[in-house]
Amino acid sequence: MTVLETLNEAELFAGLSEEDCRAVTGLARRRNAAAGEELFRHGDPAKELYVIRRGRVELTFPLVVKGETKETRFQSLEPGRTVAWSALVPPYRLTMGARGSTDVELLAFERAPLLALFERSPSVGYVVMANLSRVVAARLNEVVSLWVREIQRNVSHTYG
Amino acid sequence: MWITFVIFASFVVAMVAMAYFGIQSHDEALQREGADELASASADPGRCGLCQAPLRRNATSDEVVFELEHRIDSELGEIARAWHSPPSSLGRTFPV
Repeated sequence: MTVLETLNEAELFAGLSEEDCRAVTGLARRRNAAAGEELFRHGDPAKELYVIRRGRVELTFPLVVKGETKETRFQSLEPGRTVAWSALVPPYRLTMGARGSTDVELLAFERAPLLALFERSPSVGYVVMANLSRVVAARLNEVVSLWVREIQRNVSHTYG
Repeated sequence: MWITFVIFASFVVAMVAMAYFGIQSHDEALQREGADELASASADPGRCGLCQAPLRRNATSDEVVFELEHRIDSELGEIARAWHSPPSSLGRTFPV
C-alpha cells in the first residue's frame, strides 16, 4: 500500500480530494517502532501527529500500582487511526502515552508544515480539523463514559 | 477442718483454672476461624462483574495492570455497543 493509499483510508484525511491528499502526502515522514517500544509519554510536548500505517498502537496512561509507575493500556488502535491529535490543539501537550503493540509503521506530520498547508488551502484545513474533532469527540466520549460508570458504581455501592 | 479447707481451696483453684483455660481455648478457636476466613477470602476474590473472568488478589503490579486493562477493554466494548445501539435503548443514564 502506498502512502497516498494509506492517507486515502485514514480517518483524519477522509473526504479530501485526490489532489489534496497528494499535497498532504508530501508532508508525511515515516517512523518505525518495534513492538513494546514507547512512542511518546503522557504530558510530553506534542510536536507531530501520526497516522498508523501498519501494526497496532496502544494508548496508555501512567498509573502507580504498589509503588511502581506502570503504563496501562487504555485502547489499542489499528491502521488508519490517528495518534497524538494534541499536536494540532493548544496547549500541544499529549493527553496519553503510546507504545507499539506490534511492530508499527507510522506516518508523522509535524504541526508547522501542516498548519501552513491549512492556511494555503483552507478547504483542506476545514476537512482535516472536522475529522480531528470527531477523533477527539470519540475519545472524550469513551473517557467520560468510563469515568461516569465508575462514579455511578461508587454512588450505588455507597448510597444504594 | 483443715482438710475441708484444703479440699475447698483446691476445688476453687481447679474451677478458676478450668475457666481460664476454657476462655483461652475459645479465643484461640475464634482467632483460627478469623484467619481461615481471611485466607479463604484471599484465595477466592471472586470474578469480574462484567465478563466473569476470575480475579486475583495479592497480585504483582503487572498482574494488577493486566486486570485493569482487561476491565477497560470490556467496559469500552460495552460503551461502544451501547453508543451504537438505538438512542431509546441507551437512555439517559450510563449502564453499569
